[in-house]
Amino acid sequence: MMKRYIAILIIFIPLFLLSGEIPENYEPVLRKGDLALYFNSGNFRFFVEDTSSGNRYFSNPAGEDPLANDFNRARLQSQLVVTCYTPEDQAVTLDSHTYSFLKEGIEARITESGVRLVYNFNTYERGEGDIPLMIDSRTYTLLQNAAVKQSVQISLERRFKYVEEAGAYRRYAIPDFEVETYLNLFDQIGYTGGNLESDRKRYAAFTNIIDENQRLYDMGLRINIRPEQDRIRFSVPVEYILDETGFSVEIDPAGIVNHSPEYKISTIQVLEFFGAYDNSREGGILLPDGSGALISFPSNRVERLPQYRQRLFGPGTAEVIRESIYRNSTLSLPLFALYRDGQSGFWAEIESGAEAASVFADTAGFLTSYNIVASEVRYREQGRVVIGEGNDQSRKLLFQDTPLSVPYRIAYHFLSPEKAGYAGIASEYAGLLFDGQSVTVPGRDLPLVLEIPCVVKKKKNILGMQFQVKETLTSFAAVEEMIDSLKSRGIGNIHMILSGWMNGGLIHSSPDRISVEKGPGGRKGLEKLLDYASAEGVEIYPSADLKTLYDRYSRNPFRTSYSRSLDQSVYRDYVFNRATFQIDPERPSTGVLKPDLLAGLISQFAAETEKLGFSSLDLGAALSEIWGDYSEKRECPPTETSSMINEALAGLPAEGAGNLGGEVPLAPYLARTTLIRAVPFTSGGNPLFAADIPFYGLVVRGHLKAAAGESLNLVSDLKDWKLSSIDSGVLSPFFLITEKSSSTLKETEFNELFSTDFKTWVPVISRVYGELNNLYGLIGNAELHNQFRTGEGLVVSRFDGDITVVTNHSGSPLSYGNHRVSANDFIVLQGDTE
Amino acid sequence: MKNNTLKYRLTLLITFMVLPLLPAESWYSYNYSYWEKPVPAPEAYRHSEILRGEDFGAGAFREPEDLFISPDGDMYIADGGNNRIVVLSPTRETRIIDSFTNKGVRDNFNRPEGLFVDSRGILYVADTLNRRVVALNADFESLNIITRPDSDILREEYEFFPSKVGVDKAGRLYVLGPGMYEGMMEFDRSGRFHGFIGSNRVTFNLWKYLMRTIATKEQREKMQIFIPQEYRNLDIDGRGFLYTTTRDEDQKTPIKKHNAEGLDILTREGFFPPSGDISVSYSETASYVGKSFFADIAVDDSGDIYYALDSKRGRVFTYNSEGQLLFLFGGAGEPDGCFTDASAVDLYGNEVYVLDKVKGSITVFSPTEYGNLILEAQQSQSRGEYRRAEELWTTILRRNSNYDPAYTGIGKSLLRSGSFREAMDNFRMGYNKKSFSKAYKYYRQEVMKDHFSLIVLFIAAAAVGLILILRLRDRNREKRKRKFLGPEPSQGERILYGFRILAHPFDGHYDLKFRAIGTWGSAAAWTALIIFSITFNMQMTSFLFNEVNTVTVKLQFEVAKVLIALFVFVLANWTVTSIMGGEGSFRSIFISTAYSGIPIVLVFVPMALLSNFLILEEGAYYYVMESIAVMYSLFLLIAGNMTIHNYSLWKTVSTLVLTVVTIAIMAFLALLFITFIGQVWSFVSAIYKEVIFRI
Repeated sequence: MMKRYIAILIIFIPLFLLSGEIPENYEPVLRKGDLALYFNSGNFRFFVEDTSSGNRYFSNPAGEDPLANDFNRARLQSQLVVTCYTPEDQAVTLDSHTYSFLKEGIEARITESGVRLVYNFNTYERGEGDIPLMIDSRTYTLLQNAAVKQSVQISLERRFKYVEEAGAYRRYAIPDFEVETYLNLFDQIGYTGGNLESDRKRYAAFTNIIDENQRLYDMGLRINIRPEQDRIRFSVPVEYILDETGFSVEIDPAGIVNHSPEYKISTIQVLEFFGAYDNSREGGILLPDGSGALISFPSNRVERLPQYRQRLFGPGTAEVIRESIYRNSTLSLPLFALYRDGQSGFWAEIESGAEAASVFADTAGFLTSYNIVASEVRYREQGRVVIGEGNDQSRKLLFQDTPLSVPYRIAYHFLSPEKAGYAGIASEYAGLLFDGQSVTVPGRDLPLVLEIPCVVKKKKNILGMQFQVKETLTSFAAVEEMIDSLKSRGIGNIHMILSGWMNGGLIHSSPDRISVEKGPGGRKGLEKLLDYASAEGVEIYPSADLKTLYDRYSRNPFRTSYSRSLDQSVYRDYVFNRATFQIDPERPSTGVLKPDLLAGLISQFAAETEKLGFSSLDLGAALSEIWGDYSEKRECPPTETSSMINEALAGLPAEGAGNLGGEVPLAPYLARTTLIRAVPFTSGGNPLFAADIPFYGLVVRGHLKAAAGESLNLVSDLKDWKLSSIDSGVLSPFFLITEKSSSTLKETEFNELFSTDFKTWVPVISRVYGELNNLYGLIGNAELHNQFRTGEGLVVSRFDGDITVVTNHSGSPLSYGNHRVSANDFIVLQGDTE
Repeated sequence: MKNNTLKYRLTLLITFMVLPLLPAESWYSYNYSYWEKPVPAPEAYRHSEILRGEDFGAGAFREPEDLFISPDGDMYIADGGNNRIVVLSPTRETRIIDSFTNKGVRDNFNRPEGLFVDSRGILYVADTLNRRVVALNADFESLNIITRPDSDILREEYEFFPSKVGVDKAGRLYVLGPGMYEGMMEFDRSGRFHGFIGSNRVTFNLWKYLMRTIATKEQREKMQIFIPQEYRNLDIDGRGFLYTTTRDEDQKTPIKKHNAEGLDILTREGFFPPSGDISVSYSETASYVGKSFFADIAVDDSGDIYYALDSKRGRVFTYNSEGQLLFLFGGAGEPDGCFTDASAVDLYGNEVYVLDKVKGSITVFSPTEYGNLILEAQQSQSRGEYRRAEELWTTILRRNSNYDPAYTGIGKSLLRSGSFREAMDNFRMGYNKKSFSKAYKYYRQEVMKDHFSLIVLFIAAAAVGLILILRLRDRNREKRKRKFLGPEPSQGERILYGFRILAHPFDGHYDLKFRAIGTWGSAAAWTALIIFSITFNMQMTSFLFNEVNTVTVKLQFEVAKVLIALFVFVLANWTVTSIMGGEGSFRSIFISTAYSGIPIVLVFVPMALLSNFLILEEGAYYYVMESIAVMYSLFLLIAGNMTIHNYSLWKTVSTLVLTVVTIAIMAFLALLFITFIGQVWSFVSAIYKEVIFRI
């Protein structure tokens, strides 16, 4: 091994002659562009140097951390932390420092593109686990014959007892000093690993119930039992790659070998302390939580707060959620970042395997002295099943049968001082995501986005007989009048999303075949509307909820099109009682379409709408979450879902579904999306967060035909909405409106639409639109250079052309330089002129 | 609690450098509908700031228990775990009071849990573990120290651990503490003990009582004894009324407003009395079980609005002076704006400050645009500015069509302007029966006045018609009688025979059985009619007298209810009378019972229609008529039982009593059976899952 290092050194040393001072024991490995990779073959750590700025990003912080206890000290020196579950469902974590490095289990190889390390946890050495727990009588006899010494024969009788029910010999705990003797004995009789595996399977029913305590009790003696972590043996290969695209880390799940299959590998944390910063300078951790969230440092943290940890792309369908206390925002973008304001830092994108990833972050000052953000991958998806009821209730963990099948790859991008802020990261990320394409047309007005629900079904009751009647909330003719009304108010760029227009209304049957609702005007009325809209230059997006399956429309009693959770039950989405957080028994639950069927349904829906003359398409919430189907017969993990849907989206006819809308499309679908109607303005909230930031809005800004924030008429603070929109670089106003008054929906299951009357809102639409459109004319096409918050709470955005926009979300007037910003208002500065 | 909020907020923002999170639109924001269901609502308040001790150089709070904001904006925090009082001025000057001068000697606090500053600026501290209340002047010198009073009315074993204090405008000091079951301790200005006022009543819980009756002595000792619950916290409004909270699941009135005598004078005219969450879970698996626990209450100076803090779910329930829930905000858990163990609440201007004992932080909530609209509308209404109030209520309703109080607000304004019909519509939407009735009264007068001649004509025509029908009926009476006496009456005649039973209960029931006039079919027809009339009554009764949500009435349930009740009664009666020598068969009991329900059929339907012409004050007619129908049905049932079983009156009554007992036993057995089936199902399901997932 050493020879190889020396050879590499001889080749690469000349490349690094011009570099700065290299820390002791680190050797140069590779250099690509402005980046150079150094590796320490003694402790298997590395660092990446950004030669353009001279900043170095170490895999692990150097030196001692006085705050860290033994456990955290080991984590500080690790590159991987793996969580496994014992057969008793207890979680154990193994850090690569303690269980691989200190046990001399790391194998390193310099490759053409970097370094490949294989972390062997608890390096495989035979032990008690290789002595079978149950053996048949024949094997026992062979062992007896092979045991020459009397002491071994006596030991054999003590350690192996015959079990009538099994018709075999059961092994009890073997003290460490006898393990070697027994391994040799088994070798002598020709007992192989294959025999061991076959005996494990053969006597699985018996061996599973033999518990360690019982064995100790049976033995009547105390022996030193090794910690659970020491029993788990597996290998994880990790490649640290430096190529033309930059620095990345990749775990190939095919290379993961678990030598102790009774333990389940659950999650793998990668480079927890990579580029970690202490509290000495100001900086931030960017998390893609909802709109985006910022953890600032240095923080005044003096108490133990739970580490931030959220999975990407929604909760998934592995386990049914039966209580909902907190609002968790979806992490729609697979990235995280750590930076020092205006100095250095990195942002990392999970390029592959994001569907199985979570992001975690923690601040300095309690567990360690470092502010960290990193990701972990779920090697096997995990769920729970509740067995029994009341006091007899117990929970059993369930694991996905097939482990992760796609590589897990994180690409790190290092920030120049001018980009070291969330606005800079948003611009870099958008550049990659949209491949540098912009759709913003200079001189064009700000788009206005309206969603118009057409039909709902309401419960009626006559003499106790309940039935449902269709209530038309908005007719197609009324939509034409709305267009007229808006046009007459000078609003030219209008995008309308029609919902509840087919197959039963807002709660509708599968849109593989479409029947236009008669109430709003039927097919003829719709065609007339489309003609009218086309003449007026208004885009109309037909919307459907493709993800949700309503039992009332399901003709298949076996629910074959429904996704299943890990316990093999049909996955259900419940409506929760807002007061109790429990399932609302009066509201029907719904199913979720199998992801592999969703791809087909998208195509069918697109074809059907195209027949009707639509040139756009809105897929609603289907693009806002990635889920899986864990059916035993045909499992479809989330890692397969996004590629299938992307294939379907790529196959959409450019004519028929040229415009594609969604609520909050996830990153994998953003490049194909043209309209977003619910750009989040807030995060899910976490005590670690210092502020919510409009990161998602800044990423999509200028790259879509229309991007709108949550519906203005359903928020509690219009002024605040307006300011949040401005912070996102002026988003389109979005209104969810109906022709009929929303009091029609009082005491129905649609009572969330509590303020949708068009006539009431049209003056507000006109006013808000006018105000934002003026600002859009000024900064809509300008590049955002920087955005930051002042100590007082003002949000300052600096655009091209020396334009600065300052928003004040507080209820008190505040000062920005010589300028006064009124409460809940904003100012625009050209240079220093207001 | 004056209006210098602006200055205060500005100072805090500039000085504490706390970056507020951009406000989040809470997905769980809700209010309660008339039907006690949580319905979506925009947020009325939103957290704008989190204050921690370490942010203003006072060090972290440890289990802070109480919070008080003086009218000039000084914030006092009883930092119990640190044995100190922290005072934060509007200009961010922090004072830490961990000791004070007591008769020239330095003295310390020992876990102070409550505090109050009176109008003269005297700080009262409930120095809990020192078992005293300390009154301090502005220089933090002790003015008075109140210890356990030496009074005969105190129980000998009573330990004085004051936890909360309050002082009214007259200088009377009120002290609360654990074990103070007799009410609040009242002291005069000089610290002399005056006695207890406003004791909570013992709450009677039938289930606990029964359990106690059958429990052994040892078990009884372990059980909670029936004693009044002590108050948890208090606040005093500008007019000197005391508001208290009680932390007890069984307490029906956890919030009280006391007059000088300690009597509860809180107005409870909302959809439900102020008691926090109405929709609660009792599931074993729920994270939050049972009713709200009110840790504190804060009242605005006018007494128009009060904010009650539910420490269980971290919610602040806001009620107006009529006891109507205006809105609620906050939540449980770790995120900002939510609480782990909310311990105190106070107001400053329109802002609400909530102290979290576990997090050691104060969360500032500010009203949103929507919340401000509600507060302003409420104030306008209280000040009698009805026109302004109507405008505001209308705006609120445009923002939230689920908001019932707004309908009432608009209705009241319309009523005053004489638009009775429109006012009625609004009152109906807002489920305000009292006001609806008032509006309807005027509307009815208006209609009567406008169409008097037409109405008189209609009544006269109806009277003439009725007379003609009765005459015609008299003419045919003999003919009908002969026909009824015929050997084979038709099915229709058998059904119509029910009317004879009304007038001749004994003869009628006799004929039903012994002349075989009653059949399975005719009884089934009457049963169907009973079901129809009950359902009709539920659906068509005026909303003034109807307590049923008409949308949720399900015919199948109503049919099942009547049929099960009928079947169980008939079965129980047949079982009892078979033993007690009754002559009636199962069939005859069923027929007689079904025919006994005829008064219900005859009264419920017309009364349901008639109710739509009545106002609340005339409700007596409606209730009396329905009661008569039920009573007469009961009488027919007794008459039928006497006749078919050939019993004396005494024996009939005793068998009916036994029938009721038998029904109770049957219900108990059914309950046992259902529980058993449930447990078997649960067992089988658990076994199945064990086999599938563990083996």
